[in-house]
Amino acid sequence: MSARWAVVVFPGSNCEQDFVTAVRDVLGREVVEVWHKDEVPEDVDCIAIPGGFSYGDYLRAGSLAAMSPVMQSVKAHAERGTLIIGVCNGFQVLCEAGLLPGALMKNTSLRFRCIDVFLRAEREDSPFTAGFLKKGDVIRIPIAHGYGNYYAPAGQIGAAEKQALFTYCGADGRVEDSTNPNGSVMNIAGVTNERGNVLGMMPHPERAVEALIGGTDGLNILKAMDREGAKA
Amino acid sequence: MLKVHVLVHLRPDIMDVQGQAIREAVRGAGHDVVDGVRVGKSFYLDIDARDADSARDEIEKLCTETLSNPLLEDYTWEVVEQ
Repeated sequence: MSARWAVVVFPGSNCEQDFVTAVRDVLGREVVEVWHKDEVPEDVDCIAIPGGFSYGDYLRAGSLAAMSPVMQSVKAHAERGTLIIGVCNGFQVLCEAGLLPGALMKNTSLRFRCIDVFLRAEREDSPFTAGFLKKGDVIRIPIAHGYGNYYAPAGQIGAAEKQALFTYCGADGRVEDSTNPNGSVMNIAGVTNERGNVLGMMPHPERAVEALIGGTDGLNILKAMDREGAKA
Repeated sequence: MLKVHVLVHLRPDIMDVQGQAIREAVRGAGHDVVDGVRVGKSFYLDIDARDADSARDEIEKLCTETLSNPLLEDYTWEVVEQ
C-alpha cells in the first residue's frame, strides 16, 4: 500500500507546486490539490500545507487561512491521526489554527532569510524522521522567510521543548545563537503536536528532493511520511 | 450602529523588533526625544448593535479569536461612535 497525498492551496500559496512535484514526480505518489473552500478527502494519508503568503499575510501570517473552510477537514484529519506537515506559511497556519503550540513572529533581524540551514533532529520517535534520522543527526534544508521567529509563551514553552523535532544548528550539530537565523526560542525550527502526527517547520523539505537542486534530505522526510502514513 | 476602535499590540514582555528599528531610525534622524517605540494595529469595526453592552461578548470574542493572537498580543477596544 502506498500513501495518498493532499496538498492544500490557499489564495496566495506559492509553494504548492513544489510539493506536488516532489510527491508526484519524485516520490511517485498520487496527490490531490485541495482548494481552501473545499474539504480534504477522507481517504488521504498525508497532508501538506505549503508555504507562501496565504491571504496576502493580512492580519497575521497564516491567521486568515486558519479560519478558512478547508481547515475544518484538516482538523478532523489531525484528530484521526493523519500525518500533516505545514511548511513555512503552512507552519504559521497550523499554529494559528491551534493545531501546534506557539506562534511565529517577524525575524529578529527584520530581514527575509533565504539560505540553506542545518537542522538537528531532537527526537527519534517521529513518523516524520522514522528510518533515517536518529537524535542528534544533522540534515541540510533551505529556508526562505521573514516571519520565522518561533515563540512559545510561558504556558507552552514546556510543550514546545518536548515536542521540538528540529533545531537550527551548525554543520557539526552544535545548537548556538550564531546558528539561529531568525531568533526562534531554543533555536526551534520544527515542532509537532503532542500526539506527534502534525509537524510544522520553517525550512522547506519540498525544495530539497533532488541532488541536482542541492540535496535530498527533504525527500527523506517525505519518504518517512509516505511509509508511516501508508501503515496507519 | 456602533463604531468600535480596537488596538492590538505585542505584549510588553515580547521584544518589538519593528519598534526598535523605528526608534533607531527616528533617533538617527535627530529626534532624540524618542525613547521608545511600540508598533501596533488599529481596527475600526462597524457593529450592528444598539449599545456596547449588547455587543460586548461578540467584540471580546472577535478580539481574542481573530484580531489578536493572545499568545503574543494584548488588545483594548472602545466605542467611538454610537
